[in-house]
Amino acid sequence: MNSIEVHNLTVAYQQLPVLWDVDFELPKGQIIGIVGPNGSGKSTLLKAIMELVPLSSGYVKILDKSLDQMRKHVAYVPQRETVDWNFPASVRDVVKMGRYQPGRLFKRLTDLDNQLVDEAIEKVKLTPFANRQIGQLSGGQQQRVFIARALAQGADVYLMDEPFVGVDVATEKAIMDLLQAMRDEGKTIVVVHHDLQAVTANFDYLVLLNTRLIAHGAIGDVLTSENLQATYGGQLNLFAQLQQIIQEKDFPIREKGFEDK
Amino acid sequence: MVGDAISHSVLPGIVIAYLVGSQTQSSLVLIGAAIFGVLTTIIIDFLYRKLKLQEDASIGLTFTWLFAFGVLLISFFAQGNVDLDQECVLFGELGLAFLDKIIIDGRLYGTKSIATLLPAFLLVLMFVVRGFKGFQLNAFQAEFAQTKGIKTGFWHFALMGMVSVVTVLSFESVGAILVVGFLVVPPATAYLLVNDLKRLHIFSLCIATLNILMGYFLALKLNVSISPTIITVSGVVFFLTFVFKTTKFRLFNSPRIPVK
Ligand SMILES: Nc1ncnc2c1ncn2[C@@H]1O[C@H](COP(=O)(O)OP(=O)(O)OP(=O)(O)O)[C@@H](O)[C@H]1O
Ligand SMILES: [Mg+2]
Repeated sequence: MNSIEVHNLTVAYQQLPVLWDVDFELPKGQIIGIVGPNGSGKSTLLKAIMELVPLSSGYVKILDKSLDQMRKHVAYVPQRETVDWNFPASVRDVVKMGRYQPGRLFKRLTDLDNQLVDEAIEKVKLTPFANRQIGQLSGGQQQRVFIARALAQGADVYLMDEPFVGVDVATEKAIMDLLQAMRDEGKTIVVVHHDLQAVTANFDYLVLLNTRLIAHGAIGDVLTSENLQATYGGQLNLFAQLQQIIQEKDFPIREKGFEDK
Repeated sequence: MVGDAISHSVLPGIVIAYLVGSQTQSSLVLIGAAIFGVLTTIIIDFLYRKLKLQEDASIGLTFTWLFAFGVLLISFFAQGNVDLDQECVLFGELGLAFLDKIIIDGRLYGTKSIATLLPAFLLVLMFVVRGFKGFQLNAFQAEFAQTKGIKTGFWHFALMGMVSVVTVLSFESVGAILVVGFLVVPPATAYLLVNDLKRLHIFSLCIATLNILMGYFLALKLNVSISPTIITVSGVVFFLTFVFKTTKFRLFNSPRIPVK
């Protein structure tokens, strides 16, 4: 079974296509990176999967069913800039929102809900900050609040939009360990991430995106210089750095001409 | 300011209700006004979200257009010989609210304002308390609510509908300045003091009550009109709270300058 299937997906903002005929299937129980330059449609892809933007064509399936059937099984962590950090809410208030369900909004949260909330806060090590207003946290702590909310949802598939932005090395390591522990429990985690080095080191599967789908597959299969050039285009400087990374990491380079250089 | 906008854009509703009901039946007028109040929020929302107009432009466009339409309706149908103007329907005066007494069998049962606003208050209070999670989530991150399959439209329009109805009802009883002022100033004051949504609500209510009491008695003492005094007091309270907060903030956070 696939965790997420996307078929013939096209999304346009004001007639301008941002995703063009994207089509892929993602495996279950892996950490999956979505990589592409700024404006390549990564956030839009996650939003399209969550039906937050209208699809011009195509459809999405989650665990072989429609999103409406599977909403309880998917958790979405938006990009950090989209959050109103001045909103009068504490860490615990935000994590609790992970337990809100349509049709249960007029009822109190149960003891089980509250227990799951506390556990989620504990897992991201924010317990000492549980009652603090979210604007009064560091960037890395803010990011973890939203990861905790996703954890509290108890989903099987997690979509995270740049959870590592503004996070220091120690916190990045802690989050990465958390994601790997989740994967080992069979969860699927889809992460938009800019740091190719971290992606190659820690992720299992990769989707390369630049409006069109460039490639998708296991990390070693996808990271070819051809694919990266197609993804990052003219950004040669960046491209050279990427080649460096590939060499350092000793990934099997599948493109022939590359070895000759 | 949605409250300000609603206060003007309900005019066509009032005129239409007046034309349908043939006399200034206040219940019908209120229904007409409430319908147009909600309509206002729907149009503002449409302009802002779908047509991507700026929010203040959306509000300005909507209420001026509806207000102008209401004025046109008056001049077209009433032909100047009817005593219908927005002032008499909408702009109440707090000092006169007690005149509208409800007397049954020679006994005083309160005023019309109490009869309309108290039930409205209780209904809104109940809805906000019971539906707190919905309003909270929708105000904080409607997009996230949507991913959970929560009907964000319901919560948005429930809130806007309540704002419309309460605005219209209160305009009739206490007048323009008080309504628009109290939609904003007490919560803004409370926001300086607390950063918890529940406490924000409770503090807003307490601050509003205090402002009213202080303003009312000050107005009696100085023998000036009540509404402007209450708003002035509210503004002063806001300012003092702000000063209090920033100085306190400085007291606790000022970096220790090393003495050389
Ligand atoms: N609401 C919107 N209205 C119009 N255009 C938009 C909107 N949101 C995004 N776009 C455009 O769509 C394109 C893709 O945006 P998207 O946010 O998906 O990119 P991204 O890959 O997430 O970029 P980044 O790495 O900067 O986060 C960009 O060119 C952007 O300008
Ligand atoms: Mg993005």
